[in-house]
Amino acid sequence: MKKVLKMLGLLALVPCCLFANGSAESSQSGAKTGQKITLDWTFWASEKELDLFCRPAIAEFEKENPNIHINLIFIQNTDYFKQLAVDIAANNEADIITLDTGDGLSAYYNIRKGGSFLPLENYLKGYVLDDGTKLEDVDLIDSVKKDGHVVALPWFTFAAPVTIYRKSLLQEAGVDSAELSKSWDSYYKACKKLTQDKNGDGKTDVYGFSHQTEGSVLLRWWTMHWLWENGGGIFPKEEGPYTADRLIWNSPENVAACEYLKKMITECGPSGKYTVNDALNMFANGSVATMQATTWCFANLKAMMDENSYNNDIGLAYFPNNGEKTPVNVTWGNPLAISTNCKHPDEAFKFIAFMHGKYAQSLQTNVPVNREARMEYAKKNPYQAKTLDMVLEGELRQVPDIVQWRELDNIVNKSCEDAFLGTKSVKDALDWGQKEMQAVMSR
Amino acid sequence: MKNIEKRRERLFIIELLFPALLLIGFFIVFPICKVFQMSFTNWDLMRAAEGHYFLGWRNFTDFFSLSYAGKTIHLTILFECIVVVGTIVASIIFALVLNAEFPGRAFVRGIALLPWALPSFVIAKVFLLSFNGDYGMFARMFNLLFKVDTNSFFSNEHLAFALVSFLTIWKGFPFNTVMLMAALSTVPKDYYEAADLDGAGKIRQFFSITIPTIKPTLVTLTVLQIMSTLRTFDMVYLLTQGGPNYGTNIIGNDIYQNGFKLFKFGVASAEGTLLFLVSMMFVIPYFFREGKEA
Repeated sequence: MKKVLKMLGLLALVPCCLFANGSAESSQSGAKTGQKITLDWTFWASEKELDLFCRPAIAEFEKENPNIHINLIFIQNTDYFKQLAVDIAANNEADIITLDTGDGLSAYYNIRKGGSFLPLENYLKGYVLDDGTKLEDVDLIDSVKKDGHVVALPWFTFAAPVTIYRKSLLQEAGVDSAELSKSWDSYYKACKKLTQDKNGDGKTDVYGFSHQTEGSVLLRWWTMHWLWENGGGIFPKEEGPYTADRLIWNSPENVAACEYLKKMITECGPSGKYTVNDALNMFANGSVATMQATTWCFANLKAMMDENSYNNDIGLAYFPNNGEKTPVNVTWGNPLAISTNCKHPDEAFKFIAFMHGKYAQSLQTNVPVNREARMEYAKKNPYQAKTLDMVLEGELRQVPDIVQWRELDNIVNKSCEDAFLGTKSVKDALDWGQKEMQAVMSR
Repeated sequence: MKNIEKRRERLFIIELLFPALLLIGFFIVFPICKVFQMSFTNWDLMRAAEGHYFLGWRNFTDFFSLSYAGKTIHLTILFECIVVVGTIVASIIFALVLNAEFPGRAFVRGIALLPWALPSFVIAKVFLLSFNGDYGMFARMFNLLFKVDTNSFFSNEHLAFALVSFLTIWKGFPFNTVMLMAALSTVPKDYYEAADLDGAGKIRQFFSITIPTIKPTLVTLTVLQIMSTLRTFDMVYLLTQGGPNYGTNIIGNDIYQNGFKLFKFGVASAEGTLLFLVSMMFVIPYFFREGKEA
């Protein structure tokens, strides 16, 4: 009997060891006693970006606030939002969360009853940073409102697109860069001229155009502005009410825009399945002459190209004009939110406010939302600054931030992939997408 | 005394089995029960605030009402048949070849095991690059021999399905080959000598001597292959993500897409439950049969 009891006792330790939670530090109560507080912050940037603008900012913040330690948790960008959804559902998310308005705030905000992120109005009211930045007055504040509350603080932003081109390739082919922006038709003709078999071996060496064909997240970003520019989209102007009967996915405008893109891909672009990063690689090595780009693309190109080519051979042109229609550009931002489970919201807000200050914003490799920091950013990052200036001249639009966005996004990507790869005709692909979206919105 | 000894022996057996049973319970039984429970409750992460209330059969009807559900089921059955038959046949052929004496046999045996040893990610990436029309090795080969542009392979549903099936067979057959080689080594050589004397040809010897002798191993490998193929996810996800046009969307990939891409864990659990029940249709008769034979 004693032996059995001993054995059971030992066995009881097994699940305890298996269940032991290694993370014991975060959000320990310590504010009142002056002990060090640790706040977990999740983000998906590359190691290089973390070293460039996250870790130095954290170091500076911790120097000014020695009782607060920021524990930066890196999660691969392909897994970040899956991990975030699961963490929120399990009440296990970090104290400070980096969000993406392009992936939608609603879905993650609504996972928890009453909202997953802390309303910040009370903190923002009258809050002025040491460097004079007024937090009530930040850019993109409307994009982070849910149920009338500001639930995050914009941190940096993106906007797209502009057309980038290799100056040397345009020169060789005798193409004037103005042709890239004049109209969709002139852009097509210019890309046809740029598509060349230079050594006569029967294989194309330089493509005039490239556009992601793989049905993953960036496909949506690279396609939406073509649809919007042509008067299409998912809902009219992506405005509510968001109901099944207002879907316009298979509208004639969308079909025409996708037909144009398919023609461009088939006649002027590399064939097969590839991503924006593959396209950037091809642009960097000179096998693609033009493509659309956003601000973060330049950091990638800088890493891929030699200094001379990067500084001197990249040209920027406005997105091709589509007649009388107003240019429409997509914008999105990456705000910082505080979890409603955070035990030290005051300290957490102090940190996200600091990240909005001039010092932290000036370290950014992406476009800062702090307007004053943007001037210094423009000096260090001329391509990104010029891109932003060009894009801000048009109408800025965001994708619908609704609970069903993830499903709609999946349908957009699959529909476009089938259309661009030729698996289905453009009309059939968009008709299928419309039917699927209606089923999602009707549930 | 005898009863006390018997009771002690039983207790001792329980003591020895208990840790294993505990781990099996925790890592196998509990997750399966949890998936059953999730398949009947609301586990849409995007609506988690509503709570995990009982839904009845709704997750199952939601799955069957998806526009591509029929296609997914059809493709899963087709994939199962092609890969199981293909793997077993390829394993038998390679086992027979590698069992014969020839120079460099040891080296060839080592090379033949490579596909099984390589991670699926490596295989998928290498083949995707090899089929790239601009610089791929296979692309050049296909272009030279058949004047075909391989860039279109992964854009065509049927070709993509064929390639995924081929690569799954290619990855899986070495393990079965090794098992069958071991089984072939147990076939007494005098049977073949006697058959030779009786005038039986090679093919007759194969079907009358080899197959019946290795049959238990073959049946076990077939059942294992059926279950393993039903679970296939990695190759499909790495090569095509179920596309194009759901042309390679077998159930393993669909469970991942519904669960981890769309956060509809209820529907994914329903699919998992159906998959479990189908697997049991093969496993239970097999174990009954094995039990009877023992």
